[in-house]
Amino acid sequence: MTREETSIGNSRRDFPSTHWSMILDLRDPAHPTYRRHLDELVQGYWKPVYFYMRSAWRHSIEDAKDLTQDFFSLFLQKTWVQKLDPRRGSFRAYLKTALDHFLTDCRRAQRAQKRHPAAALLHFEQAEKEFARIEPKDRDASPADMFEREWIRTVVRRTLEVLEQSLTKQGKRRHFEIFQAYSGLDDSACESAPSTGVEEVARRFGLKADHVKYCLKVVRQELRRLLRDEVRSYVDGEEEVAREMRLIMRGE
Amino acid sequence: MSHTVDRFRDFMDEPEPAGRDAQEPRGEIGKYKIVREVGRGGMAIVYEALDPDLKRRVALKALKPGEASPTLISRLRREATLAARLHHPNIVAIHEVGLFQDDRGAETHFIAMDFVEGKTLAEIPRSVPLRERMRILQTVAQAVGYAHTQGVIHRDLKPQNVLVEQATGRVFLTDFGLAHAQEDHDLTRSGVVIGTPHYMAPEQVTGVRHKMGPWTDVWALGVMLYEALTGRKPFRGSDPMELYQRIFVDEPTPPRKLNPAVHPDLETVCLKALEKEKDRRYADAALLAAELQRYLSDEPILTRPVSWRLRIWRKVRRNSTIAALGALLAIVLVAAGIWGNVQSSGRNRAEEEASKTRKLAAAMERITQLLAELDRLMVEPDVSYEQIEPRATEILASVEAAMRHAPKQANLWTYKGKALRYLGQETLAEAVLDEAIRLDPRDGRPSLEKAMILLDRIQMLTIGHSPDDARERRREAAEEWMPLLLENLRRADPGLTEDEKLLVSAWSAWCNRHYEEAETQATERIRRGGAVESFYFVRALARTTAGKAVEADLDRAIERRPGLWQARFLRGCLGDDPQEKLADFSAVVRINPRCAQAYSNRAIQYAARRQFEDALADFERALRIDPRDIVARLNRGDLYRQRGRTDAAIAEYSAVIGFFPEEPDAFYRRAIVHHALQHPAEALADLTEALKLAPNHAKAHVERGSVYMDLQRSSEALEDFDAALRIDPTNPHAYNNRGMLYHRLGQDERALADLDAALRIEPNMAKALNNRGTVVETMGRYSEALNDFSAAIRIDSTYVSPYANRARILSSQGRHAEALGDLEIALRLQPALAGIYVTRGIVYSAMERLEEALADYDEALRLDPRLAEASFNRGLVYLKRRRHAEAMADFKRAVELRPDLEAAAAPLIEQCREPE
Repeated sequence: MTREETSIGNSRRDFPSTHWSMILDLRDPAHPTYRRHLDELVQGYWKPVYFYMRSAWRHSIEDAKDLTQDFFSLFLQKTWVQKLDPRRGSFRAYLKTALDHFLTDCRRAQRAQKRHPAAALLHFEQAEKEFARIEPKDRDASPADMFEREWIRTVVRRTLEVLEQSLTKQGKRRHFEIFQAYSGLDDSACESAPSTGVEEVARRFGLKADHVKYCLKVVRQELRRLLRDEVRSYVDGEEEVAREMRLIMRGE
Repeated sequence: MSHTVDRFRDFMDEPEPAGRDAQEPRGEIGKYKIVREVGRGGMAIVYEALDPDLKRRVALKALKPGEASPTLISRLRREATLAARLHHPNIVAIHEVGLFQDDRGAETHFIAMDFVEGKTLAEIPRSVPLRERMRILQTVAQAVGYAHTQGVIHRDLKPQNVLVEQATGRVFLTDFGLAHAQEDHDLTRSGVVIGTPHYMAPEQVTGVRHKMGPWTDVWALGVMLYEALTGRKPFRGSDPMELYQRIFVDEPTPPRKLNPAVHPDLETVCLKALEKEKDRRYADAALLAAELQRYLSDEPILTRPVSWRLRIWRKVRRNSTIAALGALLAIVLVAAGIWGNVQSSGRNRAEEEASKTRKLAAAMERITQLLAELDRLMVEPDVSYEQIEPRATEILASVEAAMRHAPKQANLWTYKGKALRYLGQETLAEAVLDEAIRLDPRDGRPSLEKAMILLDRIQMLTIGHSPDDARERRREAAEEWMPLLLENLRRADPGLTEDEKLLVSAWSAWCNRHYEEAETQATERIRRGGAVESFYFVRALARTTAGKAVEADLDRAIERRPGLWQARFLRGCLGDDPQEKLADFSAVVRINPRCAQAYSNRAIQYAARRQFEDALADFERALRIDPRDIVARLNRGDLYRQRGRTDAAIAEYSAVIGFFPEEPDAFYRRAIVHHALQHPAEALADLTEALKLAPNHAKAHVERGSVYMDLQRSSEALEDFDAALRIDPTNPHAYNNRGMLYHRLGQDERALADLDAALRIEPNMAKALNNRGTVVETMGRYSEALNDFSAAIRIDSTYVSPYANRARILSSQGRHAEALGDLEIALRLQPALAGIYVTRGIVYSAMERLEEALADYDEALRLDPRLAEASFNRGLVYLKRRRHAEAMADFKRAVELRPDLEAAAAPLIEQCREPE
């Protein structure tokens, strides 16, 4: 993620990741932690909502922006969360349901053009650039699919984002560099450099191929752990977490 | 999926390099020099190694030290023995089976075999074309078939056990680790589940050994085939238990539903390999290989596809005979060794299960029967709701009953949705169908049903009403539903017949505004004949949206399926003949009495026929079903307005504004009432609001121009008429009104040009004819004027103004009797119109019937004291009668009211002052 984007979610590293059930357990919108946790989730995961709005063809860019803003304003104001059952699974599912309700309400109200003050500063320009990069054939996906895809992408990106820090903290900065060179993946928005073969990476870093493979294995383990942490931040229950992991890793 | 995610997944999926175990052999095993590790499984590690004697590369499969239980050792040896029996170009050859002891005394059991440099079938990229995959699988099936002839069953066929040599593309089957010979009974105990779960056949899941055979391998090949065709496994579960249940109970989704590009023959072969009952599968792999070969050589296959009806029937029967889950659980419990005293209660449960399933099957049969009856009804010419209702209600009851046994069976919910649709309960049906979709997202049928509901709704909104009523509001509403419709059409694919798929495709084209495409698709299907009424209907819709003629298509659709009320509705909307329109809307409500729009459209027809009571009753029905039916409300308002119930009209329009504060038409129409009631301020406010909401509302401009005209604000009026004509250059009312404005401003040539323009657009516009008469009259062209007034009267014999106008000219030509006749008619039509009394007064005074003239002027002034003409003309009579004071007062009053009369009045006032 670029700087301008992280500015809406930059506090996420300052406290341990939230568990979805914690939000639900708090249930008190006045509680500072409640608000912070919810804000954090929203700031981390607003983009799938925007993509959903964008891909519904009737919405112009401006409409999609307005609707997204409206949605989150309402979302953060309303006591929707209080109605939730913590055993009901994931923040993703919840957000999706809230989104469906929101759109139904909009329809019902014939889009009574009541604008709400913005919830948080959402950086649509970047999101719009990313949306424009979606392959035209993929843009035909239903808004719901679009939402899910963008969700997965957000989770992966957030995971990659913390990978560097986590490895650095463990004194494994080199591992991260090897990983980047090998996979071409980094935490930047969505462009990835071309990936390189193990041999080439080994040559570049002056290592044996086996050593590179071993480093990658370590990174893979770390990624799996971080991904699981990320998923736990919005999904409750190990069974649900496993299901969500499968969705992200395999799209199943 | 995005690039980042794909790459991330690829990275995470890469095989892990092996972590080394201190005990694992390194360097060499026996005579073989280890080059590298190429893979490892649960029990064994595979190395690439060199055979120094023969100077060739070999694959060494070695049991992990510590894992080498006697069972595993026996299994390894058996693999070698069995594989050694097999000499086939596509089966990896075994060189040696051995035991190696290193210097520390650690033992390693191993097999040496051909080394194949390449990838496993599981690793080859997705981009490999389908045909190539079929070639690989055909080769595998052939090799397995050969093994079967040698009495060897592989029992662990999976993509990981198929190697594709990189250099040559040759295919090798490997890993007979679980294989057994058919005569071999030593090693596998009944009841132990072995194999890789996803590729296990039902009989393998149960672990009942004697039921396994070549057909077990056929199943696994079927799973691999399915994966190659669709990219996913036929049975999936979040844990082994769920997976076993699915393997045992579920019918796989036919591959073509997941990937329509799959050749029907391949689907047939694949589904036959995946038959639950082993006897229905190919007896051995060679038969399967032969069918695949036929496909590859573009020859027809021999297997016949199984119809979906048979599939369902089989499923029902299977459930009822084996009480699948109960039995399965028992088996798994046996396998786990915890089968004990639960057995007897398990049996009871199984019986219970069986009885439930029987009941379910009976309910299903009844539902299917009723649905078929309903379908037959719809082709009856005089189908009506009275016939539909009892059947649909019974379906509902049967579904409810069946749901008590199987609340989560998706197709029950779909049936319920269907029945509700027949009952016109669309909103409810939608919710029910949503549940069906949620329960089984792989079934396209509920999505299709839902799509049809949405289509009806959108169709009603877009073309279902007279085109001008709240058009924007309806278009917006329709577009709100469009994405949902498209989503459902997209989801609707699995489980549909070919025709239904074609229909979905045509509808999708229509939704995406590819009308030509929708039309072409429909035409193609119509050409092939059969049950094509729906295609006629799609084509009609596509054509009408593209502005083409559609009656013939609708006629054909209705002729073939009189119950297709949607087609009748559309024909009613598009047709010209009022009688037929009425008949069509009546037919719609006969079949679907909850179609609000049909009632309001019929009401509009009734109103046009002046059957006002019928019209009001229909509006009432429409609004009882949908109180927000904007068209019904607007038109009922119009009806009230026409009937002079102005308060009711204003209330109705205000109700619409309450529901839809952004609806310009409601403001516009309320303004018309205010204008007629001479509340110009209210009219102006409403019209200005309407124009704020819809700046291109030409009619509102015309109306506001008229209000300004009445207020003598000519330049604003002119601006509005000009604006209207810029927006809609074919609006005759704008020309007509502007013409009258020019006339009032004394620009008669321009006035005449505008009125002519109006009449070119609308030759039967009585108002414009009357106005032109007035203009040409002032230009002194009396016979033309007479013609125009007469024409206006011919067109609308209830139109008062031309009678009065004609009377004035006739009278000036001395044809007083005719004039009086016209005026009499005018006064019968409108007894309280001051202007007519004035005109008659003029006629009477020309006839020197001054008393009667005076009485008429008095009456006119009583009706409208501000009518300058009345005062002026009465002044003339008084003058004749030499009642100078009264005459002078009248003239002065007239000038006061209309200063432009000053010139005419001044000499008369002078005359009044003259002494007698």
